[in-house]
Amino acid sequence: MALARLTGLGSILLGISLALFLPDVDGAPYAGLTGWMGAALLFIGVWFGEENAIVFSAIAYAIKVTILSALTGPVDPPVWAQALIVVLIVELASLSVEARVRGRLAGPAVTRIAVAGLLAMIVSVGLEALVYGTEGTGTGLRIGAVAAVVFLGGWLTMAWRRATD
Amino acid sequence: MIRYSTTRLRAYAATGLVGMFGALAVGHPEPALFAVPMVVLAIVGLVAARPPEVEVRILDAPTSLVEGERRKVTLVIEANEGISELTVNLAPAPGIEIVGVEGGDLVDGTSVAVRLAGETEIEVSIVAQGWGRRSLGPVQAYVMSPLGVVEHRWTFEETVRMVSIPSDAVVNEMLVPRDTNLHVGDLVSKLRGAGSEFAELRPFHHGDDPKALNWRVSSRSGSLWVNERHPERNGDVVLVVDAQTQPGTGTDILVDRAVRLAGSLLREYGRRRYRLGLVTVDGIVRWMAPGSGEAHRRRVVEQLLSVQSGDSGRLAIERGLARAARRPALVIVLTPLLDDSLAGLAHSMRVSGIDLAMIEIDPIGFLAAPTNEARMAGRRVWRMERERLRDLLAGDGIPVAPWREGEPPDVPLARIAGWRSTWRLPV
Repeated sequence: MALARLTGLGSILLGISLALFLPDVDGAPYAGLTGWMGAALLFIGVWFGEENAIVFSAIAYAIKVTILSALTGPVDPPVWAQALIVVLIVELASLSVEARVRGRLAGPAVTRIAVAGLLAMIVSVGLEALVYGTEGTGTGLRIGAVAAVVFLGGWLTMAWRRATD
Repeated sequence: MIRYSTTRLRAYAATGLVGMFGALAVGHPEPALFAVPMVVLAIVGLVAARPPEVEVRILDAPTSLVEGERRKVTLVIEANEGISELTVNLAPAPGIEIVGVEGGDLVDGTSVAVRLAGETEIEVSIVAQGWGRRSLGPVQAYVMSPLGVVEHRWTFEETVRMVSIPSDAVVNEMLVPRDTNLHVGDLVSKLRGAGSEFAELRPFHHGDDPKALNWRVSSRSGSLWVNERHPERNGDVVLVVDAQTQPGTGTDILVDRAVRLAGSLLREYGRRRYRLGLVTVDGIVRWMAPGSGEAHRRRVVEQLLSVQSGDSGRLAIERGLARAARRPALVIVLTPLLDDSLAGLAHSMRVSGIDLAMIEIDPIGFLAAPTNEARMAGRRVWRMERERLRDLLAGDGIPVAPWREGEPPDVPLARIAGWRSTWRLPV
């Protein structure tokens, strides 16, 4: 139960901190409202073990990012940080509910959270660099797009061969 | 094996979709940048989620356990490499409590989280609450995929069935049958035969064993006299458990007490190698004629533990009693005396010469106090009727001893033993 309580508390604190961060621009209260809705859903999900509330909480945070992106000025906190926090929120909240129902060992759980957070951050930072760094020429974007197509094609081929073996 | 998505997969997929559509709606890349890591996590998690192979077996489990006793169940878990963690749900039936685990962590009272290292063995300590039939299983095993987006579930149909035997105070006061059967045992028979207990002297007859000659008496009397002895024989005891109470009226406690007392008596009589029989009167009348041996004792206990509240017809009760309760058995009836028909049958049995005793599971202490004058009067009349019934039975030679709330089981047994030692059947 200690693991469930700790992870539940951690996810709620992260959810509240994400809701608190808002840029000082017009329309920010709408994003703030969405963020607080996400935090409230997260609290319900963790407290009552409602897994769907955790899903809707993550959706609320995605809507908040969408609203923030439509406002004037840069998205604050940066997108990669928001992605990382939302991944951590989902991981911690899910772990909290699972630990109560099925029980989880702390070691593998921490490893899983670290891997997921790292992967999300790397992908997000890489994509940001790709998008904002290639606005001038578009060369980097083309290289990235070709690499993505090659990767996706390779993965699809591998999946197809595994399925037909 | 069943594979299903977890909260993570649903959250990542939904967030990814919302972010992508949001980016299209507002015409900015940030929502897409937010969404792509989620989609990547979901895809990578699905690709990495290969179905593992898991086998859970119950290696050792008790088939019977005494209420409140701590026993161990051993499980063996086999899984292919790469699985470090597994959760096993033992699905204990109501009345079985898991109190400890060696080799894992107990979760929620029913599941065990196990760290796997090859073939892993875990020991689960269980305690039975109350008496009756109990079970453990079917066991379910859960394994999470490496990124936790998919969970695999296995259900192993193996179920352990066990009986929980009531644990009660040791019964010291035992009722001894008046007549013995023909099997060798510890009781001194009234008959004459080969034994160690001296009965009387009689003149020597042709064919008598010379070893039985009493030389002292023979030398004094001038003729041959032999010792006669009582043989050691066994006794038959038939318990009649009357569970004819109305379910939902709060009188189930009477059935519980009757079964607990019957369990104690069966244990003690079994320990002294009596041949045991049982008649249970609930919704169905079931009977077992007296017998001995471990298999018979187990069948008797199993029948006793399946007793539930219910009503039976008089004819069915009569048939059951006629088959199981025969001479020379001592028949001990455990009844709350709520139904007159059993008292009538007891009278008939006594008249036919069957040795009978009745322990009344006194319901008075378990009933709600009467709330008004009319109810109080009704209660008084009812008590008087019960007293009259007890007197009638005692007049027939059937001792009836009430077993009241809080009394140890020895109390009614001692009352009956005292009554039986003084009372003589009217000639």
